[in-house]
Amino acid sequence: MQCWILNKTVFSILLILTLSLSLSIFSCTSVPEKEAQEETPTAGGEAAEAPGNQVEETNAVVKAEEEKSEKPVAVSLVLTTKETSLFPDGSLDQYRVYTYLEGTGSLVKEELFRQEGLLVEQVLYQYSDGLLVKREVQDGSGRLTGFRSYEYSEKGDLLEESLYGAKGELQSRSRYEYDDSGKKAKWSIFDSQGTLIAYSLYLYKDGEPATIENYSPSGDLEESFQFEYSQGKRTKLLEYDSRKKLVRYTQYLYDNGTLFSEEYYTGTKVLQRKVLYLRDNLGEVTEIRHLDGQGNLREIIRREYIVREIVTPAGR
Amino acid sequence: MLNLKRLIPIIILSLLAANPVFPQEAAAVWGRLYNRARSLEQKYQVMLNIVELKDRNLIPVISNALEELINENKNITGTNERLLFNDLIKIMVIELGNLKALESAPWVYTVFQENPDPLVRGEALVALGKMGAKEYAEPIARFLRNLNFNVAPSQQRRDNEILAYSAVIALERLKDPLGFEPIFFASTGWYSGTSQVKERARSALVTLVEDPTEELINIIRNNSAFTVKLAALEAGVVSRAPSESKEILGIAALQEGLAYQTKDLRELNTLSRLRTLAASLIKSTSLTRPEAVPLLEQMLYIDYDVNEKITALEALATSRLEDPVLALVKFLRYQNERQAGGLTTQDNRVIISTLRALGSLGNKAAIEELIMVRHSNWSGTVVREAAAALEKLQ
Repeated sequence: MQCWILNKTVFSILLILTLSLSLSIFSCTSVPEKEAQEETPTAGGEAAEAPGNQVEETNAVVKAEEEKSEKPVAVSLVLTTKETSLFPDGSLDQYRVYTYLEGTGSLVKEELFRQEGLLVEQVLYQYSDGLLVKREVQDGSGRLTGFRSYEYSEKGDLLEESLYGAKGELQSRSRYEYDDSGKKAKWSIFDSQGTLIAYSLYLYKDGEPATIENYSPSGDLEESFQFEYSQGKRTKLLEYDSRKKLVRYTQYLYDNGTLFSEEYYTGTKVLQRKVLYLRDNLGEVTEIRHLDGQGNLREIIRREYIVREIVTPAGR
Repeated sequence: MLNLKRLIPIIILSLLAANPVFPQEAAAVWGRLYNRARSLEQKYQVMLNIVELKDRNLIPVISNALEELINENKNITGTNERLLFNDLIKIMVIELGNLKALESAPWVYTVFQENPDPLVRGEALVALGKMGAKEYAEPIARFLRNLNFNVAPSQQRRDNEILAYSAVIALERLKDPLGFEPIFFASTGWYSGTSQVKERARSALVTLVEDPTEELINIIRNNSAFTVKLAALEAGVVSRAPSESKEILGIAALQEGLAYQTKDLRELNTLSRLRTLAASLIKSTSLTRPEAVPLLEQMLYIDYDVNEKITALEALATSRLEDPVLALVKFLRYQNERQAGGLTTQDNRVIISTLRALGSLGNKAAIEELIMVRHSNWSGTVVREAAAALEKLQ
């Protein structure tokens, strides 16, 4: 189910790549358009939440195609160019502008502007051998406020991620381990002294994430998450405390196979908040509405995107 | 050329590198870790991860953490500790604002009230605005009003500018009419150019309320400084108020501009500018209210600035009412009599504007006085203008 082994036309690949990329850009909330969903029955946005998995899946698509064809492959990338945050009355709060490396889908800069156009934050991305190695955050005046660095295995799996402060002082470090099939199996967090402070285990069923368990350094279960699916789509995410008592849950609602709403409930079934997704006729999320438990609109996020065609060399 | 196998991870990681795990367990883990952190350093380290998640599920965690820190405020003694403490508070307050966490507003307001650092307090104000915490509009408006008075010692001026800038942003976002007056006075206040307070306030005035006419009329009527009256009128000109409101504002400003006498040259100039701008505003709304006519007419007889008279004439000429014609005929008669009596003027602009105004109104009530121009010793140019006006009337 999870494997995207396709033996179809290049078009199919392009479509899926397009959609999976838009997934990544639009976070866990965006799901593929209908045609693609039939071929990629991954639960709404799960891949976006777990880039490690997404990377593997996407590579699988490419690999399948590579075995089949030595021709150059063109891919269409759906790239978010602007994300605007609006107040409930529709007035502008702030906006984020995304800049990509010419001719690629590589994000190189992310700028956050206040309503009046004042730059307040800038995020710069650096790559090495095609992999992100550094994410640097600066304030509006260009002063470094912190950065993250990334290390990878030879296969390109993310192994370590470190967060540093403005003066280069280590703040925390995350390590990732993968199972034999290449899926993320463990996430460990260390403090600045290198002491393990928590870890999470990831369990899968039929290729889909089934359970996540969070542990203390001494191995005590702190909380766990269970995913529920229906017809290949995630429908519920339940969070339990260490005594297996339901603390809260999220319900995913679909319209014709497309995610249109997320509802967040307490363990006692009280609606806390809601997220609505509005899409354009291409199926891309163009507006996200955040509502509180009483149905009051709290924030509107509008997204603009471009579609960029990229051609890879033959036989690659 | 890029390898596709490499390309895809680049895109995905570049967008999600800050969050390479499922958000749910990340939120739970970091939230729990924060609660267990003992030292400020540990708390700061964990909070950096929390705020990067940009996850609404973490609002209670951040809010509770903020409450806890507020309670610790008085125990912070060392300079380095204070710096870290303030940095921590600041990132939390900013994130709560970004998440529009209205439920956290009381704690954020407490930060504004109690924290000594103006940057932290400023961020708290901005966050309150972003949350839409309308219940704090009144105290923030009062706070800005007090800053506008500039009674603080001079060494606090820079700090107060930071706070004023933030208060303007907060009030603008809260969109409460209560904020209008203090923002208006911030736009004309003591603040330095580098602080950008005045500039920010001016743009906030445009967006704060749809129709600020009532607030502006109050400012115009209740402030004795002519410069303030003029600034309020200027704010009204660029406001988003509908045409009918702008006309009411123009009339109110014109009443003020005509009500005062002064011998101070600077004040005389300000009053003239006030009247001229008011007349110009009325002109832009095509003069629909009869009460404006006697005011504009009064302007015609003030011998201060010829442009003032011409603007009044142009305003009268835009109307479809009957009254402006009578006022213009009366003014033309006045000019004819002066000219015939030998009190000639070197500047024909006023008489020509009068004739053109009557021509454009096209009311036959002006015919007799227009004919009188021919017999009042005017120059050929003026007589030709009168003939042209008559032609329009006939």
